[in-house]
This record gives sequence, C-alpha cells and structure tokens, in this order.
Amino acid sequence: MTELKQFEVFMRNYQDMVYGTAVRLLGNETDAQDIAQNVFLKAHEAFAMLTASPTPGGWLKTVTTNLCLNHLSRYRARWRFFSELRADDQDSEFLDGIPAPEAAESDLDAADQRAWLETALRKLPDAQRVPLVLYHFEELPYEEISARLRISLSKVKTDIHRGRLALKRHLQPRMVEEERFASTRPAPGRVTPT
Amino acid sequence: MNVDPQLEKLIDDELKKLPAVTAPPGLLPDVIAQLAARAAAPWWQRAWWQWPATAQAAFIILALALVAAVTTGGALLNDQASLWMQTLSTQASGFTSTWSVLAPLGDAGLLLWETAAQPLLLYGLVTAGVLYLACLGLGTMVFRVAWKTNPN
Repeated sequence: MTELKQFEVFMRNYQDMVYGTAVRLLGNETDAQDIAQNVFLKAHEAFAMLTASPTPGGWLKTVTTNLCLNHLSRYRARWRFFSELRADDQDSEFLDGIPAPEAAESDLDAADQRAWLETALRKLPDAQRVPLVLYHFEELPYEEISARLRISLSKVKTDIHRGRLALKRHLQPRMVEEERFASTRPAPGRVTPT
Repeated sequence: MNVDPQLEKLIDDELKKLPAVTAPPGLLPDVIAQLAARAAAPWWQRAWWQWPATAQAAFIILALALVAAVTTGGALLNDQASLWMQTLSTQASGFTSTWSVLAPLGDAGLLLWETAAQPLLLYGLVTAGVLYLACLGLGTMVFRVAWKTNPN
C-alpha cells in the first residue's frame, strides 16, 4: 500500500472526530472544514511519527483544538472593537431564534431532540460555547480552560454556567415530559397492586 | 462559585448522548488534492526542510559565506570606500560653480516651505484626523444599528 493510500485510510478513521471537534468549538461548518483540512495537512507532514504513535487521536485532537482556538482568537481580535459594543443582555437572546421543542411536541423522537441540542450548542455565543465544549467534550478542567483561553477562572465558570442554563432552558419541556412518563411507569422490582 | 453539580451532570449527560458528527464528504478529496498539488510543486516552492539535501547544503554554504563577507570583509570595504570617496570629491570639484547657483534656489524653496506649505500640512493632518474619527463613529453607529435589527 502506498503512503498516500495509508494516509487516506488514516484520514477516514479520524476525519469525523477532527471535524466534530472543530465544528463544536467553532460553531461554523465552513470554518470547521478549513481547520480540519489544515489539521490533516499537518498530520501528513508528521505521518511517519503518527503511524508509530500509540495515540494519534490525541495528537489530532490537540492540534485541532489549538488551531480552533487560534482561529477564534484571531477572529476575536479583529472584531473585538465592535463586539464589545454589544450589550450583555443581547447574549441571552441568541437561542430565541431556534424554536424550542414545546411540551406538546414531546412525540419528537430522540434523534430530532439531539439534532436540536446540537444546533443549540452551535448557536451559543463563542464565549459560552468554547469553554462548554472544552469542559464537556474535551474534558479539560476549569483551570486549564482558563489558562488556554487566557481569561479568569471565575469568568470561565460563569460562562459555562450561562451556557448550561441556556441549553437547559430549551431542554426543559422534554425533561418534564420524560419525568411525567417515568412517574407513570412502575418502579423496577416493585409489583403493581391490582 | 457558579457551579451547580446537578445542572452540570444534566448537561453532561445530554451532551454525551449526542452522536458523533460526520465529516462532509468533500473533506477527504480536498485534502488529497492539496497534497497532490504540494507534491507536484517544484522544490523551491516547498518548505526548506523538504528541499533536496544538495540544495540545503548549498543554501547553508551560501549563508555562511554571506555572514563571513559581512563580518570580515567590512575593513577591506571601508578602505575601498574611503579611496572611492577621495576620487569622487576630486571629480566633483568641477561642479562647485553649479552648486553656487543651485544653493540660493534651494534656500528659497526651503523658505517657501516654511512660510506657506507647513501650516497647510498641519491643517491637512488635522482635517484627515477629524475625517477618520467621523468615519469610525459613523461605522460604529451603522454596525450597532445593523446588529440590533439582525442579531444573527
């Protein structure tokens, strides 16, 4: 098998992971595709090392995260002047554009609900989405997120908390339905009196 | 502070249930095409560490020679330069009469610059500054208005 064929196989194995990491961090499919391309071009340069490495996935994830954070910091520096003019209360309005599943729509299947959650996650403002993804998907501790994003620990916690609240607000109707459904079912191991 | 363990677990559970994102079908062909383009590029358009060994060696030798020329050849160059300057000043003595005519013209130009052009330049700079600030302010206002009407 030629080196290029080997690289194709390697890429098929890891492209979903790399693209998924990038799209969740950036919240934008076009940028995520660009970043994923750059990651694999770098991976090709280091392919000899990666094939010998027991954890090529870890290397790819680290490079993807670093490139995404660099991309976001460049973008943020470019638009900082204007973005700082936005009022803080506008941040809470970002999810209003996405129709939240109503309690009456509880027959939506789980796949639809997950698709909605994925969309809602991508629509979060950068300041909330990036630390949230780093915490829940990349499993970085708060301190490391604070160091990587060069923001204070308390701001990291506040941003993640606000992101979780925003997602919860839109998850709530489904959870209420699930709890109602669970309460009507007999508890496991308990015999229902007839 | 700002960490609610129940909320954290709830969101963590929900996010962990999300399926893996599928890469777009164009990603692999795009990367392969870029790699092919890189491979087809001539050696001098690639990164230095991908040059042929002979080209790398020649480059290093040339760089070292340049450094040596700059450091050790300085004294020699200085002697040559002073000799050249002496020759030049001898040759230039013939132009003294021309200079005596041009010098008053230069002085007159300098006087004109100091009395008329310099204040104009100052006014020009102030006007440019004011216009720049006005553009910045208007741009900011337009951005804010556009942002409010279309938050996405």
